[in-house]
Amino acid sequence: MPSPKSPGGPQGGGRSFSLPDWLDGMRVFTRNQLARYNGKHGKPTYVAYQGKVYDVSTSFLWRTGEHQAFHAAGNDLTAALKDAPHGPELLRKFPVVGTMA
Amino acid sequence: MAKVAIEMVKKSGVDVEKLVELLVKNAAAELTTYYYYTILRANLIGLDGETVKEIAEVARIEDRNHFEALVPRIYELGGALPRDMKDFHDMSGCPPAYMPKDPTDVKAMLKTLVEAERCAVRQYTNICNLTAGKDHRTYDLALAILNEEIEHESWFSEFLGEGPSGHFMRRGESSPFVSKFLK
Repeated sequence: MPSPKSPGGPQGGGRSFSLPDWLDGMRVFTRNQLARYNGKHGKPTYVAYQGKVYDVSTSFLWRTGEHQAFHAAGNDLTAALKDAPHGPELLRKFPVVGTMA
Repeated sequence: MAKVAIEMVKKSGVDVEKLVELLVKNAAAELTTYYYYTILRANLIGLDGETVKEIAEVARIEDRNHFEALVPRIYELGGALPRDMKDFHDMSGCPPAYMPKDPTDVKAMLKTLVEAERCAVRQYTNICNLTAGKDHRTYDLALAILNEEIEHESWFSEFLGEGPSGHFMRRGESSPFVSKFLK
């Protein structure tokens, strides 16, 4: 069982939260922080989807920090993926490195 | 450069620069796939390999045809192929279809082939979605290529035993959908 952890917000009334195991040790990203991981100039290539941040640095299709001409790394792609010709299953092959704030 | 043709596409709301970038990526995917399929085809030997060789060869030739058909549209829309072929390879819209580590593993080769075709199906579906009702010529071209890529996927998928697709090997000329762009 994971130990109760604070999600970062104030806790009142002695309440605690149990977060999923995969969140253990995960970094929480703001949009500005995520934007730094744009795959340019040797930086890692991160993208967010439905609250999770994925490291796609090893993907051939993200090698320049851009994907299929229309998508840039360092962004939340939740909305964009709705129109993509593939589902989140391709993204889920990559490691989760954090969550969105 | 087809000045009015570009103007019409722009007026329809399509981002022509991004579309051209996507077309170049797909031209790269087709030509690199043609190259990697050449290696796969050469290694499709033995009882299992020989049964797959003919469809791999048809897919290989048709992918080269797709490259040939895409190039004029890239230039019509004001684009160009990169000067350096190494750059062209690395900007491919699909990952390289490398030979599996074990060159006798026909099933692994089939998985490589089907994944390459699946990437292509996604790519041309995307281009069709972006251009439908807007850029009629690119749409027509992408749809023709999509028709052939779907058949390629079906052939390899059936060999993997994923289920019947209702498709059969080519009878007659290759590229029945794309050939009109090659004349």
